[in-house]
Amino acid sequence: MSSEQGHHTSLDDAIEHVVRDMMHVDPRPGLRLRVQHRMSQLPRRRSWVGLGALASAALVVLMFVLTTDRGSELQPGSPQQATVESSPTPGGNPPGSETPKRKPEGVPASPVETARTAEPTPESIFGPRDQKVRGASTASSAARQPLTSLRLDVTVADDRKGVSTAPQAVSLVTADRQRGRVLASAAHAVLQVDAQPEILSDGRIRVHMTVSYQAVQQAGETSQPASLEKRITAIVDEGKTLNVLQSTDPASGRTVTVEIKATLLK
Amino acid sequence: MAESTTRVIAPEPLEVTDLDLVRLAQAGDTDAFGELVERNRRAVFRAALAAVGSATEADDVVQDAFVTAWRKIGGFRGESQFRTWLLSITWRKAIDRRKTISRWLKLSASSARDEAGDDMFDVIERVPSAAESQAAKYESAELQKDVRRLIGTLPRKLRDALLLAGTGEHTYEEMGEMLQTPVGTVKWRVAEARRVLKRKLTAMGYGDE
Repeated sequence: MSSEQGHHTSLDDAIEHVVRDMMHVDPRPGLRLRVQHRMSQLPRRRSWVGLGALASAALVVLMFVLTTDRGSELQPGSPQQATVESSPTPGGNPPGSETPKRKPEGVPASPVETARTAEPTPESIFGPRDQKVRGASTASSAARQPLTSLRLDVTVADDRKGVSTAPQAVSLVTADRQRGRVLASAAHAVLQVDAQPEILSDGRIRVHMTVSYQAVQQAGETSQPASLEKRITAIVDEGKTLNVLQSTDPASGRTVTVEIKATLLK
Repeated sequence: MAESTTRVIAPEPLEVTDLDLVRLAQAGDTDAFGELVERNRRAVFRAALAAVGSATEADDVVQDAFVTAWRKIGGFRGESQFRTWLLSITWRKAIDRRKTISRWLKLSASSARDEAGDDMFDVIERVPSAAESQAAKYESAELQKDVRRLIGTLPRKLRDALLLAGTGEHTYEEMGEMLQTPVGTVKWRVAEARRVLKRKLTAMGYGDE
């Protein structure tokens, strides 16, 4: 950066130096792997071309079904009985709509009338409407699972030699298989937790989580502040605390411990 | 008998452009995208760092940005440079993150904010200085500390421009794309940021000889 005014001063130098110090930082090694790991966790990408082909195929099948259905309705000798008559629409027909006229029993339909009554209706294609609705309702309620929320308590203890700091704890509530994130900043550290719990069939809970812990250098402290970022997948028993990570710096004897507890919220 | 000399001419390595890699990535090649990550990691990381001020946060933003780019790469039509497109995604992600952090910090009273700027720059983490300068004029740790603190108090628009310019990774055109601002305005902001800093430093007793 050069001075915009053309008059370069020692203060310009100082500013330039500090800015360079702040910004000439490189990402931690392994960024590519971290990104690719996250990419692998994404749901499989869908190709729009594939989706288009699928939609076209579905349309062709539907057209085929409609055409075949109409063809069979117009077959001589097999006049389609208007399904509308056997399953009247609840609430009647909307005003202005054509109501098929009921033919007295025993009176044969003329070919023209047969053709008219043979027009496909939703009921002629999909069956009686009320039955269909009941079926759909049953299916959807069977597929629907009750949503469960969980609370995750994450505690990070940072024990330095001769210095005891209060453990930093965060809690986050998220639904089963949903991602939650929490950031907590205190005077001595910043803690960020990104977690996705999943209730397993045996009642235990699988937790995918990323813990970032960055201690802030305290006045008079000579050693580098503790910094930790870890991706963890652990299976925990509901309501029980599990020590998922312990990191010790052999030089300073500093130990950082991470504990998690997952609780189902009824 | 005359000796024959065989000269082996090494073939020039084929240069694979970003656009080549993008096309491969659009076909689902994760390794090609990995190469794009490798090529752009520093520029993307420093852009995020300029916005959020913390290496830890920046790392997370960068991962989000790359994953988003991967998800959206099918829609990249090559009308701009891939790197510019990627930096724009990164900057938006970083600003979102900054807003989240700022909101959080507003909720939690922190005594460390008293003399800091209007967001997390002086609260969360100071980016550690890699090496102390030996140069005489600005050896003073006190001056550097004050400059760093004053940068944190700059209005965001000025600070963003100043720090992006200081990364050594971004052209003014790229900065203009990221900040959605004309290049001339970006240049003015960088210069203005420096003027403001110098004015404050002078008022604090740091004079220029």
